[in-house]
Amino acid sequence: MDITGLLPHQQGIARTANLVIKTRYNFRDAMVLEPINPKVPWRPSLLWKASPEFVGCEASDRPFPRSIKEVFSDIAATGLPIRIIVAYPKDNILSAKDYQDDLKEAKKLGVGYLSVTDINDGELEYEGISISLHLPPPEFSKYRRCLVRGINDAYSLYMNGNPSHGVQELGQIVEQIINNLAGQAKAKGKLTKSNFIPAKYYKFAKLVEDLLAERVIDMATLGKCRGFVDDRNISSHKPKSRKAAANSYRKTRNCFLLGLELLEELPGKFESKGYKFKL
Amino acid sequence: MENQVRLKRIPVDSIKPNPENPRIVFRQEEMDSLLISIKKYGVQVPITVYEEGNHYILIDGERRWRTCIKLNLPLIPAIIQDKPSELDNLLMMFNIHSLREQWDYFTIANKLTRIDELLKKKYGHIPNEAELSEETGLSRGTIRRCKLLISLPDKFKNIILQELRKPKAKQKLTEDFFLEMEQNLRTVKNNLPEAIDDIDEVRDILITKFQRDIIKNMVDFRKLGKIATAPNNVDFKRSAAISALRKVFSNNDASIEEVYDSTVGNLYGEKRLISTFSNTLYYIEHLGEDEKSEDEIIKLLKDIKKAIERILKEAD
Repeated sequence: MDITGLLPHQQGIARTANLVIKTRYNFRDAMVLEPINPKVPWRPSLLWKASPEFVGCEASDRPFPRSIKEVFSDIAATGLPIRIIVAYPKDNILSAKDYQDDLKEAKKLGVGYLSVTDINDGELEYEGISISLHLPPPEFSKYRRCLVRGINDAYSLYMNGNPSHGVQELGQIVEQIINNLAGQAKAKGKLTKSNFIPAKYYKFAKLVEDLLAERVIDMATLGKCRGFVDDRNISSHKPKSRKAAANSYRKTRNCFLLGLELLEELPGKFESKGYKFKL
Repeated sequence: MENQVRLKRIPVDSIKPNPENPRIVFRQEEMDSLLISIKKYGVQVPITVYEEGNHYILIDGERRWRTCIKLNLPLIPAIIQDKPSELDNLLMMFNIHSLREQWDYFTIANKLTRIDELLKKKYGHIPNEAELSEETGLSRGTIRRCKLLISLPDKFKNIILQELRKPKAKQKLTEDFFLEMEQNLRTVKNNLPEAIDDIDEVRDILITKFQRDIIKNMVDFRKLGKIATAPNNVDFKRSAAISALRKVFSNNDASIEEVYDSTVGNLYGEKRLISTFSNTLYYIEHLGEDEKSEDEIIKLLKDIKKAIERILKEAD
């Protein structure tokens, strides 16, 4: 790996970052200052054209440099599965506040960070997620109080490098709510054609179909539940190529957004049909 | 330097940096600002290159070129010149920058020695400051400062280099700090060489005192020079000046300001006062006819007279 194309102050950081990342993910040596794709308006200091996503590492003097902030939305707009990790010296010149702000902002955008402590010694503190998966934090004030904690946990899982687990976590909340609805409907003498029995396992996709068939609540909302179930299944499969990853990541992100939309919408829809909203 | 010049958009990947580029420090903060500007407005000023084989070598514009690479821009506007000689290559880079942007002194200092050597071949003698200034476009003051920095031992040059990598606002041991310190240590060495046993040790102590805020301001170093020249300028005892300087150059909490105030401060204050009064007397004695009738001047002269009479009366 020839790092002479990098600026002098970046070279030591890049050398250590290459070692840490290639060991962690079982990669080969990185490419230096290579384009990811002609459409992507950024060349990372180090690049791995891995499968199923590109991993780009920027050697910088701080965890969240202005250059990354500047190009982030343009990279995201390409829709390509690209994960960014910023490598920075642990012994840096930032004030404690600026340092914490940088870490917070990087995490908010799913940009990973790797601190370099010494020659060949560094720690990948946050792995980050593919930019195409990035989601801004939910507006918690839009949700019923009983949902906030669960949504926050799911969002943290999603952004902390485990997006499909985040979706699954959100899915469990949706499932619980819909099961509750079905139980109430059954008690009210509805859902007569369904084999659903409260407290017994019943396939969630089937339950949604049953609720749709008998129009228990608003059809559009139930339609969204159906879409959520479909996308949730796709997002739990590991993509085998970058092309499949782009598709899968888009669906995972959309699925999480759809789940959030459902959790915002469901309480009102329940109550308009005389059901109690419970978790 | 007769040159064929063309303006063209060339692929960024066909360009190589110039190994002779004096700029060795690229501050991240400044690179980030440039990235924002180029992303928004593009490259407004073409870079300058020369062709060599199937690629181009940069003469000017390394930061713009690097920023274009970072932004994955395929092409960059460039002025293509003929391949210059090594001396012309260096001089061109100096002249472009002395017209446009102040480089760090250390950046210039590093290459100045090489220019000195090349000019020596061209002239047949070591170029003097005036010749260097004319060839490089740098002022004589800048050349002097650069030569002072380059004469520092490597240990201190490394400190400067480390410091230069930080954003300007975060730099403490700046080039200016070393320049102030060195210029005044030189004055001490020339006037009272006995005050310094080991110059590197003295430098270390002064750096530590500055980092610990015992020396609060880098211009305090000028007071070292004043202490060293006090035996000649204000009739201060040579042995006392040496012991004052030795106090500053020791591992203790003595600041330059304290030592200056407790030794030669008053003498210099008195000297300044005498000089001010002499000047005032001269101006009063040489007032023009028109000035003598100015109301404001007459009022001021009366006030001075009153103040002088009062002081003299008190002295009697």
